[in-house]
Amino acid sequence: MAVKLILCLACLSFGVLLVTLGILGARWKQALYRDSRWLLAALLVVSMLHAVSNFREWMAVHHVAMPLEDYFLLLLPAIWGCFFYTFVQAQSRTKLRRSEERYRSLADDVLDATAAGICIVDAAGHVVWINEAFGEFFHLERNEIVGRRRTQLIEGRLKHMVEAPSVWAEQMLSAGERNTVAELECHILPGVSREERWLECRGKPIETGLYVGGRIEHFYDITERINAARQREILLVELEAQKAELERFVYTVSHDLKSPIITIQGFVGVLKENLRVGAHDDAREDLGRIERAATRMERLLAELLDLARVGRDEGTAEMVDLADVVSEGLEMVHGAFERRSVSVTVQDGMPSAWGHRARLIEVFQNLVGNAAKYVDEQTQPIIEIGAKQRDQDVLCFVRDNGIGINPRYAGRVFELFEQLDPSQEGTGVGLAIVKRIIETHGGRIWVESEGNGRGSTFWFTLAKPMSHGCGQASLDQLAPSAEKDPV
Amino acid sequence: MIEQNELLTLLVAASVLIFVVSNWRDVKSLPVANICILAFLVLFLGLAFTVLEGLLWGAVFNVMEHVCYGLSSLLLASWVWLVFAGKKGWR
Repeated sequence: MAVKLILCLACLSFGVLLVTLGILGARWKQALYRDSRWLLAALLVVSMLHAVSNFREWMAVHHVAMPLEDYFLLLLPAIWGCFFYTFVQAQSRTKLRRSEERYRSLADDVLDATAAGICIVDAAGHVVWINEAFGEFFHLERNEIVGRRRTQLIEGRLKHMVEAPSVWAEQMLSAGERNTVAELECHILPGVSREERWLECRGKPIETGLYVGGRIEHFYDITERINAARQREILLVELEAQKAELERFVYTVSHDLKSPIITIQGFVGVLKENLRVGAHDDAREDLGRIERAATRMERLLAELLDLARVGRDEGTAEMVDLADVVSEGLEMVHGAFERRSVSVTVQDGMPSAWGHRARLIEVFQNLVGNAAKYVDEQTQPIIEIGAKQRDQDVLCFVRDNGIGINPRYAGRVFELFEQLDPSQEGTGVGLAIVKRIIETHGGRIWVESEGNGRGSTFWFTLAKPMSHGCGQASLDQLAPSAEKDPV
Repeated sequence: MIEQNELLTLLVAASVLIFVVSNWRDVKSLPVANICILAFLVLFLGLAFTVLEGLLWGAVFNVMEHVCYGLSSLLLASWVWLVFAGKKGWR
């Protein structure tokens, strides 16, 4: 009976063993690690053999294989121990691998996602890692940099990309050699597949961890900050210029407005005296002078108001035919031409330009009116008007053979209340208004003259609407381009 | 009477037990770890009873020893079955 039971148990054990080994093979990749699996199989075999042996002993059935009993018994805890040990080791390896993966993920994913460029150098001076931002800043691949010496990287690659390379490289190498905290700025020059950038480099020694004694360098992109600072400088200069212009304007206005007031005040005193002595004819003359001074003051104020209104609340600009504009401008100063027998020539095929019709008429009216005013009495006055389309703008001119302008004063003619010939009627505001209108149209104006008696040519440009990408642009949109238009 | 080889085996098993306790968190990460550990503990008990049977209550401890060995083998076989053939797979 006992022998039969032992045989049954033995068959059962081997059956379980075979099934288990089959399962081990089938689940090879999902279950225990290789060594653990073999140990487990061995454990199972020994355990089953021991169970058979144990049962046989228990049933007091003696067999030739009895001495094996002791070996099985000794083997069992040993194999259990090996199994647990290998499993724990495998677990440790798994944890280590996961930890490495986590840190690699931290380095590769998180640090790669940062905007700052990072370069890690080991204690021996070899680059051990750079992030994507660093590679992008200097247009370098991580694979070609990692493992190279830092000095080789700076001297061989980075140095040739920056402004003032020798100074920068020396500072970087010096900071690396001393391995101290350092802050530098570098200007990466634009190149093939490389953008122009300003970088702030901050390097410091690594004091703990795997790369202790090494160095970590951060590169922050400060291009926007630099550009903003430059823009601020430009704005400050502009502001200063505007402030100076405003001060000059206030001084000029107050000075020129004061002149008719002084005239009025003076003649009011004379008028009183004449009325007191009964000199009515003189009093009438005084009143006439007071009236002319008041009229002049009114005209000054009206023109100043006009100047102030240029570019403000003038609605939308439109395409205007310059031939029509010139024609209307000439019509408005027709009287002056009649008086001085001025011959006016307008170029055929005048182009169209973008702007406010009324203001452009005012420009031609002022320029042509000036040309008619400052004619040379010795020659037949001729005025030529023309314009031509250029790539970026429309260039217009008004040329005369009048008294000309000393080149020294060419820049001053557009200033407020400036008159080259004070004996001529006028307030000196006209050309200032013209300049302001042209500037609000995104153009420039200048005058050329070979000197006194040689005539003069007033040139001005008008921005093309297409260059601003506008269909119904207001002058506010056009005006800023005035800074960019080349003379 | 205590057999030298039985005592040696018990010492080996005790060492393994100490290892298991000291690495409890790792060992507990085995799938269906309770059955596996129980199989080893039952074996350890069987070994302890093997030594004890030479000192006192020989017949009782002898029975318990053999029961423990058999139970340990069955628990181990069950654990292997659960892990490799059943649904309680490796996490």
